[in-house]
Amino acid sequence: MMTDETIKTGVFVCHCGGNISDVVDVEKVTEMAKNLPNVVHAEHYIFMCSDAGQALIKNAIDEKGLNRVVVAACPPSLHEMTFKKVLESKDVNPYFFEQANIREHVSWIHKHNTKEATEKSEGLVSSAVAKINIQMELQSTHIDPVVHSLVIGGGVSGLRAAKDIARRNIQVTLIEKTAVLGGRMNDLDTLYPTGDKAKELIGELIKEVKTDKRITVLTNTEMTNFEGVVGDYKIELTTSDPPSTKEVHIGAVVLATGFKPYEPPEGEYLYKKSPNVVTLPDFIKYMESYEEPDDNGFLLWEGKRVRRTAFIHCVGSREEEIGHQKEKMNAYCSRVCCTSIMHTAAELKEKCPETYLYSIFRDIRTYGHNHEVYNEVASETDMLFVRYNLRNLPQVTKSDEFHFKIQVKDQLLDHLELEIFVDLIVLGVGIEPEVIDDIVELTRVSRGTDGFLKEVHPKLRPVETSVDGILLAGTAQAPLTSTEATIHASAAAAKVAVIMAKGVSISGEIAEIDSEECNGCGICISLCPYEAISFEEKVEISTTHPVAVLAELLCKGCGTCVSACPSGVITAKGYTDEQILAQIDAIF
Amino acid sequence: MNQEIQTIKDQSEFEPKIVMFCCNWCTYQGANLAGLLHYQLPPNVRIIRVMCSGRIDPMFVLKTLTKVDAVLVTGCHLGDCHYINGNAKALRRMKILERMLSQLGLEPERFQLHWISSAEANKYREVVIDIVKKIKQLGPNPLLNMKPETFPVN
Repeated sequence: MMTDETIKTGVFVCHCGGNISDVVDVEKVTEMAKNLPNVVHAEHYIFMCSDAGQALIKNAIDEKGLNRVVVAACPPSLHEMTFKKVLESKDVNPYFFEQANIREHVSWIHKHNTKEATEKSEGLVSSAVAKINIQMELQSTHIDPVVHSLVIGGGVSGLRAAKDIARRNIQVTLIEKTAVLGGRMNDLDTLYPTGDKAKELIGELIKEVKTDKRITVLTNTEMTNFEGVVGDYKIELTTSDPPSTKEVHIGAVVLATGFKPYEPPEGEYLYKKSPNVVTLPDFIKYMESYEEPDDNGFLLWEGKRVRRTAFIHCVGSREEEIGHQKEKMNAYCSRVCCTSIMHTAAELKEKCPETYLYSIFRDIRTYGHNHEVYNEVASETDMLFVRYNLRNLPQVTKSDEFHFKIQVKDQLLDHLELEIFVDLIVLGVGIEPEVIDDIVELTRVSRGTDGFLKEVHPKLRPVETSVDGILLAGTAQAPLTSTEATIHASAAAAKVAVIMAKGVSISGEIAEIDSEECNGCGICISLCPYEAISFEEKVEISTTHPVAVLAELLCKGCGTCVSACPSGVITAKGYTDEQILAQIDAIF
Repeated sequence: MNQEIQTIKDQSEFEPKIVMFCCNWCTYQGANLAGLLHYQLPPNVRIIRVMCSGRIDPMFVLKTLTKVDAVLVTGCHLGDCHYINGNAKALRRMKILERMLSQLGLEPERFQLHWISSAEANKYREVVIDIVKKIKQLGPNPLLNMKPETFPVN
């Protein structure tokens, strides 16, 4: 370790264009930082992440010989990589960088308290400086990845991702848990905004994937084990028909596990209580094979003439306590249902022009490029739009065996209560994530409270997960149209290509065992979740017992072994006891 | 919201110092989300980030309790740990520590263990507000400046 005088720390306080400096007195924080141990330079600037901000760091490294850098700004998850690259460009070890989070953890949450927000920022900066001043020199390990990727899910996203990856000459194994490829696209009729037949489009894509020699397709197959590191995951694939198991080495994984339509509980808007209450996907399937209209231009349903059809929007979406009394509620907008309802209604009107249509909606969100036209088409027919709100959900009762009464307070008519009599109710059901608990448990990817898989950052790293080398494609991540899902899939494929081209860098922030001093108790071995520590007889070590030895590539740096070692011979590099104790001392 | 913070502030003149240990993957991100949502919170809690709650040595908590009025240890929900089950190991250690601290005569409110996910900004907010309120009621930590000869003996 360097002696104190050789450590030269620079502190840079970011205004974040006012996000920070409107609340925190950045001038004061900077002046305070100048008096911290080893700090030889401190300044503040409007945007540290900008090119000009980065140049300030580079200049200070040149002029003052900085070898430690602290930036007080946003969370490290946003710009740690940005600043580490700045250090690297100046040949300073990127592990000598520390970020103090004074935006999310200070200025945004203490807006009306400049004095205390400034004091807290000073504490966080002091803590960061205390930590980085005694940081060890660490190195990342570079490994060449296995040029083979796994795509989980054979729907439109998985197929698109597989095709895009293979086009870059990277081997792909595509697994699908059901017997057929195509996923939910197989259940659709025509697609907006082009009106193409879903089956034709997906059929084309399936053909391309199946004939591509670089892609291995395994249906009836699931992932049953997952271990290793990015660049070389060892994955067990189990096929149920014909039964077989195999292990593959995989550099990167794309999760394209998709969605399932929301299935209303029995009784929600009389669903399953009457054959004339149907979900939108089921109605689309019915209409797809529906060819002979009733001779007077009416729709025939279950052999009976349908004069009036109502589409109810937001079923199983945007649910809130004030309107819905349910245990599990989907608070999000499913995004596809509004356009899908308008699209289906327009087609229904074309096939059965005499059918009278109602749209019972909360809001209509035909948001997509070229989707507005569907809203217009539906509006141009005599479709009647009735707007309900969350406090007054539509009430559906049977008026006789085949007819319903919908009571709804129309918000646009000053909450006038309307009674609408219809023969058929189509529920515009939302999207829920497919059940993938097994995959989540194996890979440890994060899920949001809504159950969809979570990206690292919606803008900066939109298809990457918290697990390195696992990318997201399609509706596993959020409700998307098929157009959007394919865009996501192509993005995930591009990220796979980046991993394959650049190789994989494994963090130096892992454990280190001083095996010489190990007394061989074995506590760490039983604690390590990755089986990265083992007992070895070391000839070069003059102990009479076996000692703990770390397999560095397997260690992920959680530090659980470190805080359990009774001999104190394990170090968490980047998070040493000394560093954390120094932070504790400095933070207030 | 600002009114709520003012009410907590006015509760007593004593401004407690509280350190919160956060794991990088869940609670730290949950705290980020609370910031993103601009939840307004009392400024008494400062965060030290570690990769996993399993990294938190009980010794860190003891050391911190000689400096500040309360300590929070937080992590992912059990079963959701980014490192498979580091939080379960933290739970075991912290439960033992909890008993030890109670034998030292420390009020249980001064050392708390919470599981807060990256999506639970609201829970983060509640935990922060709750501990600040409680420690304001309790007053300064009796272990601060305590001399060994005054330690209670059982």
